[in-house]
Amino acid sequence: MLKRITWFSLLIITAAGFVALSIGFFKAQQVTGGRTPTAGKTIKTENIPTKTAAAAKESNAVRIVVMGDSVAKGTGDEKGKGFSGYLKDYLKNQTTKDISVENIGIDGLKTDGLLERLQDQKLHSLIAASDMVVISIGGNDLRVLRSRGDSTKEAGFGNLEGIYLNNLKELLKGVRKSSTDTYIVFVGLYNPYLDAAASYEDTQLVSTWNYDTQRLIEADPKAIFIPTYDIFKFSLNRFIASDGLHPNSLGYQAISNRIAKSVENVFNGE
Amino acid sequence: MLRLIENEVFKIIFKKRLLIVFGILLVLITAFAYGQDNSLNRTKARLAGRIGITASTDWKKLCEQQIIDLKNRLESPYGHEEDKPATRVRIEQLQYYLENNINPLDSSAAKFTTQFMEQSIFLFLPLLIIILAGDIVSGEAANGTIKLILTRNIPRWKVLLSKLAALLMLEIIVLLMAAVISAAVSGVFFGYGGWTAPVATGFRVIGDRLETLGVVNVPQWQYALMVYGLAYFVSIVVGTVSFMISVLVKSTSASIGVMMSALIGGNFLSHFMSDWKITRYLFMVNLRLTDYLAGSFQPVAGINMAFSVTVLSVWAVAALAISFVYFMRQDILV
Repeated sequence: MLKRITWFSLLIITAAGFVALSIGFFKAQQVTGGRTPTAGKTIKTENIPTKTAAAAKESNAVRIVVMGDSVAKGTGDEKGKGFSGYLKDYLKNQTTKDISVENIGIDGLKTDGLLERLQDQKLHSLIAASDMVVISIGGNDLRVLRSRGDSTKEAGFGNLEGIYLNNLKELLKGVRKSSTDTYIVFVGLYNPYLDAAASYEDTQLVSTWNYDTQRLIEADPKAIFIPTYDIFKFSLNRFIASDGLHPNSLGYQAISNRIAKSVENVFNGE
Repeated sequence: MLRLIENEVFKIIFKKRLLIVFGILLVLITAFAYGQDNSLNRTKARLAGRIGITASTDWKKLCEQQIIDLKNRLESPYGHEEDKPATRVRIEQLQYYLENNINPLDSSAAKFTTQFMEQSIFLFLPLLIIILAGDIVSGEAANGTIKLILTRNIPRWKVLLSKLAALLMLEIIVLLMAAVISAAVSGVFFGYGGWTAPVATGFRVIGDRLETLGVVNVPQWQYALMVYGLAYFVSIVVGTVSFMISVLVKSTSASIGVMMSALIGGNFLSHFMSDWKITRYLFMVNLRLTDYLAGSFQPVAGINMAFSVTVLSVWAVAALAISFVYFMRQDILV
């Protein structure tokens, strides 16, 4: 008798299990293949001002383009503004002019990626119409080095920096091709790893990197290099977001203040 | 016919095979759950040490920030169109965590039950199936009882079919056991919830890259169901192949040994000879079906769920054909 009960309960359980497992199996087939992707191909309407350079250069407006990596984008800011947002707020209070900021920062971008974007016609016209271009790039170029061992770091650095400086040169050329008189503001690198791995070599590498960048940038009379290394050095705890890499809201405000101080007279004086 | 199957099922149960499987599952799942709990705690401690936050209180801020970043990325006109579905899915997940006050780092019974099967599907689960299937025919040949069965007035194919049906039934029981034990044991460590948490799936291979246009969130229970459904398919295939070996080989230990070395050898092969194309037609390298669901595989042109399922089906059908033909023609009395 017990055997019969066991048998029938086994039968029922396995039958139910079979149905459930089959549903699961077919669902899995459906999800991984089956239908072809039809959704998602909606092309976004572009809302970028596409005025011609001549028309855009009214004296009553200041157009700023922010481009580069996640720091340009504002990743890590709990208020979601980034330095471009704070810069806009600050300049608005300083002048009566119209301030417009276009932020096209992309997480994880390197110099080669930015160079590629620069070929874009939209970006070209954006820069042509701009009064100032703020660039933050290079952090991801350099970060590749962190995964290397100490012994290969030195050699790797030389190589990496060479490629980076070359790209940067092309980048400046590209911006100048779009606009000969826009101001170029380059945001230097800070070292978010100071407390974790404060090796002397690492510090030196970042300094060398920043120094060579500055020399290259400032060869252009209308370009300026804004250091950020010193802002963060003793304030990592206050200025770095909880991801341990990007600035937080306060950090971005500090960067923005520094940029604002360097450029405010350019737009006020006119 | 049903009586025959019943008979076969109880033969396996009386041989305590099912009990052994149950014991192995219980011990290993307990060990896994304990280990995962341990490593979770250590990860949290390390995070807390590195960025100076306690993961238990500050994860919300981190989540909110990630949502802001992802939303910015969605709105950026310079982002890639094909990255957007994945970004949207990620935002949905983070919002779910926030709304339901679940730390995304934490595990749950639902998560563990799914992960356990995802980890076992290519080696551990097949080994359990082999324990069940390995001696199903060869055992009778070894101790001579096969002669007694065949002297009864039942066609041979019916005998073999009832053995196969019993095996397929018991595979379901094994999977149910795995699910119930994982949920029950891991719940002690992680709590019994998590069945409605969203999980991303719907990855496809187009050309030789992973395509994320079709990515969607499904609730965890549904994901678990899909994983176990795939696991059952894998069990059927491994079961029929080892069924065939069991028909062909007269000794139980040889039958189990052949299957085990094939499985483990296959896993090595996929490591060392991944660029040798013929290896992709082996059944052992196609067992990781759940990876297609999770999108966690190296995309190779032409290898996708449909390919693996087809390869596995061909193996299963071939194994069945060989076992039946051989068993019908075999001269048992010699």
